[in-house]
Parts: sequence; C-alpha cells; structure tokens
Amino acid sequence: MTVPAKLFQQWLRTVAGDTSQAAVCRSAGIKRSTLAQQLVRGRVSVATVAAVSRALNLPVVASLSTFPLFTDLATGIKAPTQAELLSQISDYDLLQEILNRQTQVEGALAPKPALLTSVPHRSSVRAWLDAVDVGELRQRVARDADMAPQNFSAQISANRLSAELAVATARIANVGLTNGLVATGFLSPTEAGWAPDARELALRQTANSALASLAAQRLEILGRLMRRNEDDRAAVQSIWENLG
Amino acid sequence: MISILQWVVLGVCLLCTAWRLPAVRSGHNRGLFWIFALASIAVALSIPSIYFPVDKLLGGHNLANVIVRLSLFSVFFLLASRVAAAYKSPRALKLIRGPVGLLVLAASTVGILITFLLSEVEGSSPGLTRFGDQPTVAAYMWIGLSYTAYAAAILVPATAKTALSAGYALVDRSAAACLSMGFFLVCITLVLKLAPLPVGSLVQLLSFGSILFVAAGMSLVWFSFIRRPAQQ
Repeated sequence: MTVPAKLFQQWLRTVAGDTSQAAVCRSAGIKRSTLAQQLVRGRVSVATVAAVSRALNLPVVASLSTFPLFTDLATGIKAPTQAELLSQISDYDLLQEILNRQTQVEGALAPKPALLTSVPHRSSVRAWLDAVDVGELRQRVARDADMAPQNFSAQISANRLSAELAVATARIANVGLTNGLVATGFLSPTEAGWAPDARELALRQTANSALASLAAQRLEILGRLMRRNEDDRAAVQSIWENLG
Repeated sequence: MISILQWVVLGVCLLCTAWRLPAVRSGHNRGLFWIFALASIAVALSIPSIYFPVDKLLGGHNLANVIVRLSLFSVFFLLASRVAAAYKSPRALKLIRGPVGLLVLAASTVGILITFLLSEVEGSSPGLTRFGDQPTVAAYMWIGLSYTAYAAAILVPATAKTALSAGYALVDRSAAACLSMGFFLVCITLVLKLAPLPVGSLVQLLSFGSILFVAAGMSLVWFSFIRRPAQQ
C-alpha cells in the first residue's frame, strides 16, 4: 500500500519543515536507504507515512487523510461496534474471562480482571471480518479490489490485510473506516479513535451465553489452524527423517 | 563442455558421498550414503578416461557398462523409495516398492543382462556407442533408460506437490522443486531419445544436469535439516 512520492515529499515539507530527511528517518526508525528506494520508485509505503507521523507526534489518521486514497479516513471514524471490539480480544483473554466468571459463581474471590493483551491477536483479521460481515463481504471486497478471492483469503490466513483493503472492507461493511486498520495492527486502537477501555468494557458487558458461543467459534478456528500447522510440521519431519 | 560437466558432476557426487560418511558411522539414513556412492560409480564410469582402464581391468568386454546400468537401477530404486516416503506419497511408494515396481525392476535387470549377453561387444566403448547399430544393443540402451524414467516419472508429481504448496518454508519448497526438476529432466531424456533427432550431447547435458538438480535438492533438505528446531 503506497502513496505517490511527490505528495509524500510535499506533506513531509509541511509537517517536518527544514528537518533533514536523515533526521526524520532516524527518529521514525526507518532505514534511510528504504525511504530513498521508495522515493526513487515513486511510491512511498503507508507504513512509512505512519512511522514518520508517529515520530513527529502527529495523529496518524490525520496524516493519512492528506493523501487522495485516504481523504475520508479521518471523517470516517466511527466508534467500533460491540462485535468489532470483541473480535479484537484474543482467544485466551476470552477464555480467561469465562474462567474468571466461573470462579466468581463458585463463590471464590473473583480474580482481578487481567489486562487484555494488546491488539492485534493471532487471527485478528479473520475475527474482525467475521464481526463486520454483512453477507458475502469477502466476495464483494475481492470483486471491488479486482482481486482473486484465493489471494484475499491467503492474506486473511496469514493474518494480514493491506491498508487499502482494510479501509475498503470497512467502507463496504459500513463501519468505522479505521477499524480494520486496528485489526491488522497498522493503527493502535487509540490512534483509530477507539475509547481507551472500549474492549474491556465490551467484554464485561457480554452475556455468559454470548461469550460461550464466541469462544466456541474461536476454538473451532484455532483447532483448524493448529491442525494445519501440525500437518505441515509432520510433513517436513518426514522429509528430514528420510532424506536428512 | 560435456567432459567438464561430467567431472563437475563426479566431484559433486563424491562430495555428497563424503558428506554422508559421518551419518553412516552414527547409523542415520545409511541408504543415502549408498545412493551417492553408487551414483559416483555410475558417473565415474561414464567418463571415458575412467571407463577405459576400468573396463580393461574387467577384460575389455564392456562389463563396466553393465555395472553403470545396474548402479543406476539401484540408485533410482533406493532414491525413489526414500523420496516417496519423505514426501508422503503412498501411491509413489507402491509403484516403486510394491509388486508392480519390483516387477518392473526385475524385468529391466533381466532384460539388461539378456540383451547384453546377446550382443557382440568386444572392445571397450563408453556408452557402447561403437555398437549402436546392433538391435540388441539398442534394446539394452532402451531398457536401461526406461526403468530410470519410470521411477523418475513417479517422483515428479510427488515432489512437485510440496514445491507448489504454500504451507512449507522456502528452503523445503526449493528442495522439492530441485528434486522435481531433476526427475523431470530424466523423463525428458527418454522423450528426446524417442524423437528421431540428433540429440546426442543434449541428452548427456540433460542427464548430468538432472544429477546436479537432485544433488542440489538433497543439499537443501540437509540445510533445512541442520537448521531444524532443537526439539523434536
């Protein structure tokens, strides 16, 4: 995902003033050669825009909004739905909550609610897509992006989603445009305009039954993922055993 | 050009044999040592400056060429069994070690011996090129090629499947791709021989190229093996 180099340089001049490119790179933690390469190619990655933005203490969403592809990003911020918030809680945090509630029911002293692990979790992209799916969401996104459905699912399986696709998906699903970028880990929840305790609050408000169903769904996916990993590992093991 | 390639391939085979020596002492996958040792013998005897003295020692009846063929059969049988097991292809394993596979191997071996005995091949000639106009020698050559092509053809899909699946690390996929390519070249050799074209040196280029590909594949497997996670 990239923005035109010319626009990037214009933006950099307005936000960084006379600061040298080397200094900007250093404070943003980007290799100078990487940026130089991107500028030569005429396309600067959005990750670079975000890194520079953070280094200069500018809101990432506002910075991105200055580029044509993301003009409505800032105005498109909407509070995440309950389902979206829950989707960004890791499997183990969900299970921990179930255990905590059970402990409480059994009369023991309820353990202090642990802090939720930070986003993104291991299958955050898939969970988010499931949470915002309004029917045939994946097919529609792939079709609009002119992308083969299997390439789209390959990204999801790898827990990746390009910034452009994340925004496009949010637009089609009619949710906050920055929310998908949280699921991919591109933005922190705060940067995306989420309330600080939104996930914790959503979790505490979820009924036992809903929590149990959600956990069951997550465990099903987790089981499939583990089985695939185990099969792959067994296959490699067999190659080593016979030919190593 | 061909002779340089032959020496390079011989060097690679000897290197691989030497690399398997420590494993032989520890008893880990001893078969691989024999595969490379036999391959080294076959390659060495395809080089005229080695073939002539060795065949002279054996009486000058071109027995050395029979040794080449039988070494190649053993190499392909052992290698095919291992590769089929490694890449978890029960069908390939059955076609190599099952009744059909053993029958093909036995028939090829007997065929080689019979056609050789029926031929007039007095006087050393690498690759029996001097006797190519005899029908029994032609049959001898064909049978020699067909078992190797049979085994190789079975292994192409088994290894290609791993090379094309995304679930593996790059090194494992490259290893499978190299093996697949090597076996594919063996099959192509047979097809080229079928075509009535003057393809003499191209066939040799392909045969030795295929050995290099297989050796590269095995090295990549080994590379992946030594970098494996400490546990397991």
